[in-house]
Amino acid sequence: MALIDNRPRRCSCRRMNMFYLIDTSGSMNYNGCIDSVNAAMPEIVDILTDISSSNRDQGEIYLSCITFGNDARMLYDRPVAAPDFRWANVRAGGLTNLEAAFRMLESQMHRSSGLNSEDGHLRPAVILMTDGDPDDGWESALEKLQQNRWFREAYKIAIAIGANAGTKMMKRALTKFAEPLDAGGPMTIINISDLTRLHEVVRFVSSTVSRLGSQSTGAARGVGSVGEEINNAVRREFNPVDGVDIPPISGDDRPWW
Amino acid sequence: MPRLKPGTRLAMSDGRPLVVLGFIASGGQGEVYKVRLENRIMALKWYTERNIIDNNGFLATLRYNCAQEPPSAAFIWPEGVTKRMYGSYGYVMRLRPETYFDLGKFFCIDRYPEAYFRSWLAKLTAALKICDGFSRLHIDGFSYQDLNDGNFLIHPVTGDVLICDNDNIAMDGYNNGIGGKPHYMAPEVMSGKIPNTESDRFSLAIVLYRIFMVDHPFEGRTTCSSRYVCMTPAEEASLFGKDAVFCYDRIDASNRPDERRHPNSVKYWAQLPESIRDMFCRALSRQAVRQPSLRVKASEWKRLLLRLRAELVTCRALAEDPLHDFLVDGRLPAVCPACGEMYDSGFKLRFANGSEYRVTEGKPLFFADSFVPVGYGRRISLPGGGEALALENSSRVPWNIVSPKGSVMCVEPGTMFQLVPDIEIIFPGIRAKVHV
Repeated sequence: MALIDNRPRRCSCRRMNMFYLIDTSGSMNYNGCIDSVNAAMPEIVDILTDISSSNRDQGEIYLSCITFGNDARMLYDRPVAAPDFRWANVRAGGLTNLEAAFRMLESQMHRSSGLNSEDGHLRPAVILMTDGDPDDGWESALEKLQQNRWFREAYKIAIAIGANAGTKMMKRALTKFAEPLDAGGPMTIINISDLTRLHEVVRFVSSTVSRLGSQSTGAARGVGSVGEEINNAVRREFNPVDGVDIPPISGDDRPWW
Repeated sequence: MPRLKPGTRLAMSDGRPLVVLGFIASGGQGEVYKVRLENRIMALKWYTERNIIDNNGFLATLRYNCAQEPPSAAFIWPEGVTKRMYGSYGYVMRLRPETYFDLGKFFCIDRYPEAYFRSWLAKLTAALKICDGFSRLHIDGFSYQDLNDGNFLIHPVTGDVLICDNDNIAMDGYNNGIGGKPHYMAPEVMSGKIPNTESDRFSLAIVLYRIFMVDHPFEGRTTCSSRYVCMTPAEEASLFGKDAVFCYDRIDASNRPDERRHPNSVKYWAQLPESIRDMFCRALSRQAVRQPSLRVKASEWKRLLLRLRAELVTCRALAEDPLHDFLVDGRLPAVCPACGEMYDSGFKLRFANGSEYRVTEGKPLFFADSFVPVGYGRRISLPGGGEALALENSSRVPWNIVSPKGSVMCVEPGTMFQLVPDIEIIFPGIRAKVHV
């Protein structure tokens, strides 16, 4: 009797999880920020699907989106493979409860919840997009998040939206969030003052980090330098265009721009 | 969002106009579009990666390659470079046929259910075509530099191969900034050395293993252990580079495939003849990983694969199943290794140059290293009852057969004759005798 099936099985593939933390506070209504996010996300999903399909056995890309206004919400209750992810437009309103977003992210970064692939994972990436001062409470939530091993390993990218975004509190929050921790390399904080470029920058950063993260060449680049590559790529792509910058991080309290 | 909209007008460097018809796909270096160049519908690769756009050395190499002949018909060769426009440039090539799949898709049957090889012969053909292409490329003094699963389009039924992304090809010893893809990159390239023919050989061994086995040769119990649940770039560079352990390494058994996670390696390795197992063990050994000069050349692979093609046996019981044939090496197994049934081992053609070719039902007959079949083994009904194996002449020229008693018969194209021991077949330019 012939064997019923000599077809191959799917190859095991590690996952690269991309976590988006998206500010949906009321101020995101100004200058069409939330519209830009809503326009960019479906395209990002397409790009990540492309990258994931061309490289699937090395790193299959999974997405999670946490929006935060008065509270934090997840679009799906668990990470979803890029080709299966459907973006649902979000509306802006309310406060900037970054604390809730950090706590929700922390709850997802465990083997028992969002990072449970049997085939293992590559370093995740967390992209935070916000346009204003976070409400109180974010620091203790971030401290807890920074104890999380997955977060420590993750590539962390902060995107500051709007020219008026450089307040002391926001700078502190983003600077602390973007500390590379175990991922090494420099911080990646991108300031977008020209809001017409928000869409483009978010798309570019997503595509770059997912490509670098899921096809990492490790020693070829110098281990831990994904952050540097992202920064270089953003500089190459957007500078000297006004309105997109990677501000130098210094210890003082001056605004970045 | 694609950077070029349908209707965008570009120009080739010689001034010929080019019109963008639509977006096809995007990749690491750029985007691919369907374009019209004069009366031809072609593909345009348009670079979006700043490192390439600003790299004049890359552009010069690309222009040089366009002026060369492709090493073989399998290469989808760059045919011309565009002028710099809209902040970038690209090159045109023939369109990829839709019935072919990227090799990478063969690893994801859950997403691409049609992307799997239908026979061992298709696997052999794909492997042979790749080795043939790279052997010619290396002889011509070039190295591919970025050999990986994304470079090959393969027909899952025939195993026909088209080699893509030939813009990376450069004279051996020269690098235009291309490094390679992790899990395929040689360790010395990972640590900053220039890719060359020896690093191509490292990547080639991995590509060939994946054609036959599907899973990755360096994936095993070590790489999937809980220690690497969040694999960092440093760990990846080590486990798939300088410290890589082949999952069937003859000496180090620490990274054997795991039945649940690497079922293909387990299943297909058991069906491989010893000669090709030996070759994989040599090509992917710790020594070959670390010492580039010890790597197996494309021409060595080609010799072995041609021998396996000549020896391949089809199994009638498996006719409806994927992989309805099996590889043998010298001694025939008592039963089909795939289905466990008795099988017909057919006849052997022993050529005057000493080479042999086994003919079984449905199996194409190829001369030497050709990919064009000249005949097929066929099952025929005998007038007095019963069945026998015949050989159909599918070439364009007649053959003659000489019986043991000396009578001669002509076999016209499209006709067939029963194979019996000791008859002689006179093909154009070479004779062969039929043996059991």
